[in-house]
Amino acid sequence: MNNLILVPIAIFLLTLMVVSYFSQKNLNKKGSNFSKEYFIADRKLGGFVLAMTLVATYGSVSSFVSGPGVAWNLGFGWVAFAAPQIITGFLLLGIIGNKLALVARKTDAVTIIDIIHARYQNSSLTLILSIVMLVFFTAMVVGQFVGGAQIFAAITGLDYSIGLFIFATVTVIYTSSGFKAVAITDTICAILMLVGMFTLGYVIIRDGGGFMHIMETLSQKDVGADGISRHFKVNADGLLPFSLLFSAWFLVGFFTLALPQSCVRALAYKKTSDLHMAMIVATVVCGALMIGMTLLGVLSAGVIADKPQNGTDAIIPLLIATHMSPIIAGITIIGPLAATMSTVSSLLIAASSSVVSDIAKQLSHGRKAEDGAPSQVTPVLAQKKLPTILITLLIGSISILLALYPQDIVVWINLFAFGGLESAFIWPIVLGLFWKRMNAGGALLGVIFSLGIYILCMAYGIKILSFHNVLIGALSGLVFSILGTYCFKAPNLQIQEIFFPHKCKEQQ
Amino acid sequence: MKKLTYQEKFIRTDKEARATFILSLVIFVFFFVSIFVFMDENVFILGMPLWFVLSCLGGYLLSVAGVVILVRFFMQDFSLDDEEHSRE
Repeated sequence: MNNLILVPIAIFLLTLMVVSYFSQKNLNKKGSNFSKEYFIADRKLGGFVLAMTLVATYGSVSSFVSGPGVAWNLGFGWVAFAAPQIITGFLLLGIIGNKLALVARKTDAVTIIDIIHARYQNSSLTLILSIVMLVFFTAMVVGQFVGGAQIFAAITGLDYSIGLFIFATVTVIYTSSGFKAVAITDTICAILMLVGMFTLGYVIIRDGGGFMHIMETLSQKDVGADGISRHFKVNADGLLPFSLLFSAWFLVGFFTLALPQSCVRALAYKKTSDLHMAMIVATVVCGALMIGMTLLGVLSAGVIADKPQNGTDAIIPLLIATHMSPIIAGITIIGPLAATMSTVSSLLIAASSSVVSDIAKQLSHGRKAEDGAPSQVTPVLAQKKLPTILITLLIGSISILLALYPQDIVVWINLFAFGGLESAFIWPIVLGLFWKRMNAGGALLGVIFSLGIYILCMAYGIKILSFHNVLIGALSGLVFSILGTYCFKAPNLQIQEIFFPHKCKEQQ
Repeated sequence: MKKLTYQEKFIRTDKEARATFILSLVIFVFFFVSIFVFMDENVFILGMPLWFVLSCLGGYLLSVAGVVILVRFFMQDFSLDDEEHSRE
């Protein structure tokens, strides 16, 4: 093994550490609000950083490894499955961004759970959602760590646990510096993900004998009964039903607007002009990255002819390891590592916020909220610097341990974490922000049925016309949210004046 | 920057949310129409199937162009801070 490959990686990890060290300096300033600074960077993110942190959080190790691997096998049809992500860059920001920003300033909210608490004032709901977040986020962090460490081991030849230990520790340490460090390192990561994509693209086209030659090779692979290669068909010769493509528009399209790790970014930007810029930048970068990487997977079939022993996940690592010079390989592998680390950092800090500011609040004075009086939004614990940082480090360390000794249950939870988060959060957030009548009863019933039915369908492999289960879960969640809402009183005036000032004019 | 009251800001954000949602629906429809119309045509552009070029690459360009138009013509800057109460 050539050690040169480690040089770019070492520089990358070192840079992240240094950058995060300098970005946390503000935390020690006297008189600043610690939890506001730590969890949402004092609402001072600019447009470019907002866009990049959204994309980097969203783009994970599977965008770099599993997705392109499947595309290697199925062809252009699989790129169509990645395509719905062209709307994720602007959807969240455009639909709920400014409204979340306004409400967060009004109620001093620093987490999505704070917003949900202000909207529904129901401690059971906030407790359930905090735990859902904590469990899914931890499982996703472990999944990312495992994926990142596997690609690291495959390419460098170093031991799995050494690689995991090095880059996971770096991630956990810089995440503990707070949200500003996360957002800035995310920006660096997003740029390096693009760099990795370009070097990969260059090498694939070079070694495949040019773009047209690759297309030529593809047209002769996996030819179907009608004489056309399955790589050129939208349904890949029946392997990709349309109902699944339709579902993809919800799973990685419309429903992504409720992912709490993305939503929280709407509490952190400074001005509406930042939001507008971020919408454009995020759309350009997210689409390029998601379609680009998947397309590279299709093209890689022109370079690698046979399926690797370890399955299609090994395609991209194999390309990097066998078709690149050590330095270029080192630069390219930063792409998937950056994708891993930027997703982990955002999940980790959100998980930490859900423990420090949400679960701790519930346990200390959970009943208070039901008096109807606006309870103090940031609890005492979250104002203390040391415990907050320690909890971030603790959740990070637990995740590293779980990645070193993978447990079946964690792998299993990670499988439906993404859809689970969407089905749990979609209706409390969307209906909560746009439907005045929506109340805590509806939200609770909606969450329970949406998440419950989704998990049951996933666990027992129940399928309806090959639609993805997230659609079934969310649809039943919608029905029960509406039913539940009409069984209980409308939200009180104080809530309406904060969330629907334009719809309760008679109060003036 | 226009001065808006808290109420007016919500009327604005609702309008902008609606415009964003409509854009996403337009892209959704464009995507499926280009797939269903051209999926069985044996036409290739630069070696790539026509349905793919239109739905995925075209869809990407459409969403970039769409979001630029959305931001320029359907969204406005306003202050996110609570101006009415800040003077108290």
